Amino acid sequence: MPTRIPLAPGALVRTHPWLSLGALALVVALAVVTLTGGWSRSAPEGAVQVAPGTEVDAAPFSLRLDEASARFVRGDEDAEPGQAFVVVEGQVELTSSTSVTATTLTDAFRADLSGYDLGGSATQDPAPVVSVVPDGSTLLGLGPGLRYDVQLSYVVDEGSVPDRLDVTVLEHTRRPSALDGELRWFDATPVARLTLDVAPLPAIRPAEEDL
Amino acid sequence: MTGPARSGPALGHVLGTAVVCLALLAAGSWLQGWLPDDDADPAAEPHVRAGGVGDALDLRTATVTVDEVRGTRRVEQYGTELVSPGLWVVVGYTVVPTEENATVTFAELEDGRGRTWGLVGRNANSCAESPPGVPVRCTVLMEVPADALPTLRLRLARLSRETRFDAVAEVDLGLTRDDAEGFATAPTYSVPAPELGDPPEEDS
Repeated sequence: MPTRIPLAPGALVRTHPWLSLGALALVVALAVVTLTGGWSRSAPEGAVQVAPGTEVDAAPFSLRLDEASARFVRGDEDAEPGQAFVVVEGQVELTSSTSVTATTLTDAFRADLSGYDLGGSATQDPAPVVSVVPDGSTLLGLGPGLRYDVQLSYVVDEGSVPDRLDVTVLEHTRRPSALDGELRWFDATPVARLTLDVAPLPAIRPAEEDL
Repeated sequence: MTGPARSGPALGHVLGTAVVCLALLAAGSWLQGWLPDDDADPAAEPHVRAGGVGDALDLRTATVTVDEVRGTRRVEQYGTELVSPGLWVVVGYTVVPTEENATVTFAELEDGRGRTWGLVGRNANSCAESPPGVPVRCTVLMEVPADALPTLRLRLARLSRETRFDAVAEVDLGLTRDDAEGFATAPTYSVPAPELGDPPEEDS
């Protein structure tokens, strides 16, 4: 009974050179595509530097960031001992025809500072709390056609409040989720960067009874 | 002298398996685009029951009636005042379950330009579940730009995450530009909590 003896790798390549070359090319192509960001859409233009107060189109939002300041108090909330708030003021409007959630909104901003997340854990990329200026309520999403005066606030260590704050604005693309097919906003891509001077903290932290 | 026998699959077998796997993945991705999705299944479309303010609309296991429509720039809910850059549209409606315990958890506004406002952000729907035959008075509040008012329609349904195959009430709120102007100067409206049972009779 004949026995099938596996070929050694070298012999296989010599026997099937084109098959081996094809497989190698496929593996190399997949590796290159993966290492360069996969099949997602690229943004060759990149982010542009804009001045504070400039209107930026960052789908699904149109927004502008005006000024930044360091504070011990945010609305009714005072900062924890040793911490402070960095607050960026601006405006934001949803330009798409359907409402979006808070996640899409907070993902539209990336501040170049270290701070704390909502759970109080230190992070190099804190998400801002977005609040509505007239009433101080948290903006947990927004609908089309409404332009809000907002404050983006970050919790930072009191000793690491920056003099200047670099903020990157990111746009998103609406497409079906690969998991459930639902249309959502994905693929955050930087479209603008701006640098804001940060007004320093007051010299004295307000006493609890003053708040 | 011969070396030890090689164990494990041959390289050709491994390459063949990889090529077959990649081909199957590619075929799966290609087929995925051809499979019917929600939009391609008209039978799954919600059954829309259209009406106006005051009409009792059948939601299959409950009826829903929009009782009143208010508007203002400021509402107060749970002791907090919320100021809209547009207008708050506050709709009071009544749900009467007919077959089983029911409530309404889906609410959405749409205007004539196809813009929709859902229950995200500061928008809220305040309703409670009630047993068959017992009405519950509910309130939905959503902020919209003033230019949306003349064409606003409210959709209400039982389940917020799934309206396929289900009945959806679509109510023309009948608002006008004059309403928008009136709402802009209206006083702060305090949003009521849901209320079970028949409304108290007004003194004559």
